[in-house]
Amino acid sequence: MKIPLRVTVNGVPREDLVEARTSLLTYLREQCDLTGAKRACEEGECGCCSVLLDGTQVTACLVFAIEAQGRHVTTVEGLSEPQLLNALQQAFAENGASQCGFCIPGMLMSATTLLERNGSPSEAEIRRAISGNLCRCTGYDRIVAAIGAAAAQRRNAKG
Amino acid sequence: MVQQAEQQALQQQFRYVGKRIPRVDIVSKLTGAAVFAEDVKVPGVLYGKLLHSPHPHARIVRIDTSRAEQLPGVRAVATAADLPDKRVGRVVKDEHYFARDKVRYVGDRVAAVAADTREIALEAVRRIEVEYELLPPVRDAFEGLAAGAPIIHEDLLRYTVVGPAKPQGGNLCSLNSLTRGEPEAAFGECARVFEQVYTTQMQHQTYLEPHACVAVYNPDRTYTIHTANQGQFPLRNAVAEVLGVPQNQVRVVPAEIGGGFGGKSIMKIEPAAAVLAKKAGRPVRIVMSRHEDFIGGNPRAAFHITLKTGVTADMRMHARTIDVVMDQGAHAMGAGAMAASVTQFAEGPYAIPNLRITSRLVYTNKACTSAMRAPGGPQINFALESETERICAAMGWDGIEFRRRNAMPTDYVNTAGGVNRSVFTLDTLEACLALSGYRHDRARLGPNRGRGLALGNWNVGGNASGAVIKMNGDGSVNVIGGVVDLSGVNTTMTQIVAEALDVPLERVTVKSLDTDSAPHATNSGGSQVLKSHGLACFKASEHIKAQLFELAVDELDASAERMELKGGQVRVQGEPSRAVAVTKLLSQAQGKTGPIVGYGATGNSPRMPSMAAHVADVEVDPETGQVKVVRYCAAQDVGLAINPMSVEGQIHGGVAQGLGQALCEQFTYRDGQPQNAGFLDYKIPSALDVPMIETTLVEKPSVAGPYGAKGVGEPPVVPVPAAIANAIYNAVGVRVTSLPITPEKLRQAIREQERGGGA
Ligand code: FES
Ligand code: FES
Repeated sequence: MKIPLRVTVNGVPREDLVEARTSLLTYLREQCDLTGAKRACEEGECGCCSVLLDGTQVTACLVFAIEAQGRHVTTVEGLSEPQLLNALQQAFAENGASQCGFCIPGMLMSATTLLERNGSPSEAEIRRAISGNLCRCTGYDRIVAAIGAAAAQRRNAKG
Repeated sequence: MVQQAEQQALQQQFRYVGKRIPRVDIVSKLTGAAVFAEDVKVPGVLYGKLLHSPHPHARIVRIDTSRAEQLPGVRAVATAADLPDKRVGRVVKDEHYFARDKVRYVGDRVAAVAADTREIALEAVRRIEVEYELLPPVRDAFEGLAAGAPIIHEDLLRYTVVGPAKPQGGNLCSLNSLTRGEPEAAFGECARVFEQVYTTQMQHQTYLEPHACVAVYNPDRTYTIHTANQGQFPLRNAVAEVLGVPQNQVRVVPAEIGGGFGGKSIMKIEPAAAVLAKKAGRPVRIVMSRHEDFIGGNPRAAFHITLKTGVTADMRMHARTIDVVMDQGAHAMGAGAMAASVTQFAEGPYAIPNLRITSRLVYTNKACTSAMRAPGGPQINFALESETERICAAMGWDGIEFRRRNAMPTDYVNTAGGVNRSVFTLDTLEACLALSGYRHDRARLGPNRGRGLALGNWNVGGNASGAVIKMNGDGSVNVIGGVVDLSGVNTTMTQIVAEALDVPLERVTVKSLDTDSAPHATNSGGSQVLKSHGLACFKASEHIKAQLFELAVDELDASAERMELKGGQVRVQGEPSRAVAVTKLLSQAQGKTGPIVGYGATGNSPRMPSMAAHVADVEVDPETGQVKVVRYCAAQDVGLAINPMSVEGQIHGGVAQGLGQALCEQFTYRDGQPQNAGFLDYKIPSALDVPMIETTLVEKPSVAGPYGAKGVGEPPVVPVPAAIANAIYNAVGVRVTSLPITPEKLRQAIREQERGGGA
């Protein structure tokens, strides 16, 4: 039984038919052709599949696609203009925060959510915000530094 | 200070090497554009799924796939019957890709299906009927060695051996030993002899991206496989062997890889996808679930290490024996090579005149262990460096002075008989002591806090590798390699080639191509890429230069030996006015020699130690046994850092993995059944468990690598467990000799000590 789904993905309204059991992650990857959100555990344990649902980070593997009915979804592909980096992504690049990059789309979602809520997060607050996003490459050091740098840069820009 | 000045002078020689530049692939990694194996789009692709053995040890009586085949939407089912009856393996040929006679671990491959949807594929796998006759499992290495143990490979002594393993029969897959001097006699000359056993656990690589691949069977009867593997060439060769086809008929295309750490250096799902694609006549994608990735992975082997160390009154290690028993799992894979390499690197960062290292690699009915970042390194180092501190505590010696006296010097003849060149043990130790202020405020750390030091080595070699550089008409270059970009390889190679040809970074493009297109190369692993592929790229650049200089002989009226390549010109050295533009030479080449293509290659090179010294500060909660790492400092002997930002990143990541091994990670089995095959129960460190990591790079050019560079990925994982164990000892006076040092274990050790029975 397929169910009609109306959802705005990265600013673009869509209408699709989805199975009731289809996860938001599978919907995005297989029906929307957006493979930025990663499938790594499908148990809500790693954060690699994170996207923003109405501006807040969720693990897309644990959310049914139909739960996004009438809502806004942002994936890593929607964070910046194609081939360009937003300020947070730029901070990740400059700080060497990405190695293999598999965890990074999810990290960016948690970091985006944090920075929306807290303009000057402490190191501890940054660590807590990304504690649901596992990374096996970086030891988190440069990721924490990059998020801190992005926050500082925002504050400066706002003057 | 002297060192800093030296370091600065070193870096000023170069324009592109030694610079902190972001990875060349960074934009694609940050925008979701990077195409990982599961992201590869192929029209008409089917979903593949494997059937794994639920039993650790059983004879296969019968496999019936008919109920699966009858399910609508199922396009192919494959079993051992679809492959040549041939055992394969990288070290010992001890494995049928699909189990034939027996299954030997939970997760052993029995069959595979391809279907229109994931759900159908899962249902089809459930419908395959396998009748097993259960056999008693070998649950650990000592059980495997015991008389009367069930035998896992009855034909072991008839197997073909292609690597350094030395099978002995029974469950003993390999017995390797190296000796220097006469350790047994030398113990008699010692002031005191210490003996201690250390044990370590099975650790999983837990790369975040599970194994994934897409296989296509082409109309010309060749196979194309897109996959996440650390080496397209070793994988291609392995797949061709399983399928029984020549290597040229398998084309492996490397996808972006979401971490490997050794766990993606072995073929996994690729042959299954290939055989299904051929049978179904449609492309097949297989993605392992996290559960499958645990049970069917290639974790780090658990070690049982017995150390016997004799010391003299003047603080020297005079004699030592190291006996290692390794719990290998069901098949030899990469662990077969480790049995031999352990006997080389286990001498550690020390010079011990009388030494014997013996390793026994034992088959058990568990997942097949293989390479994980510095295979064997942190296990051995945990024993060596815990023992360093135990000996010093018992003798009332200063641990730093002890290490200084016993440190391995450079140009030392190793146990394998080779000469260790460019080894900077003491420089690395001193750099870490300075970085951490080791002695300075140790006393002021506070209650239940302790600081621990460990010094470690990883012996880095280089494997055969080739590289091609094409110089375009405008002087820009394309570099073609066959090495997977695992840890910033393409960025490092860009810097090396830009430096060698004096071409701006944006005019150099480095690609890791498929096996039809790239020159043969090695696995991306073992920290050996710089020494192998880096040198190949350097030599290919030299080859380009030689051709340009030859073309310029008439124009400049000078011999090629007197020329240099600078800023897009070939010039006579010391006479900058006598110059010709490279673009001019390139257009002349069209009418003379033809296109300018450079080729460079390296053969295998011997393994030599790179040193790492770490200092950890921990805080122990004596009630719960919980350990918090509050500060971490790491120094590493890196030769010359081609890209310091990426080298530091490797150190950060290595330390975090080491902290997992030290404190929390353990893949466990009960009676051959995996107990925690998922992130819920197998915990890797999160951002809350790892502190900021302070680093210092010891830069003294190595004779072996391009621009003096050394491999850097493995050493930082090596000293971590010992540094943590030593810090815990200094915090609460308890020495835990088995990894991981979990809160339960530590709490119990503290209780025992309180009752007067402890260390
Ligand atoms: S894939 Fe969703 S949390 Fe791991
Ligand atoms: S960068 Fe590889 S998992 Fe985070």
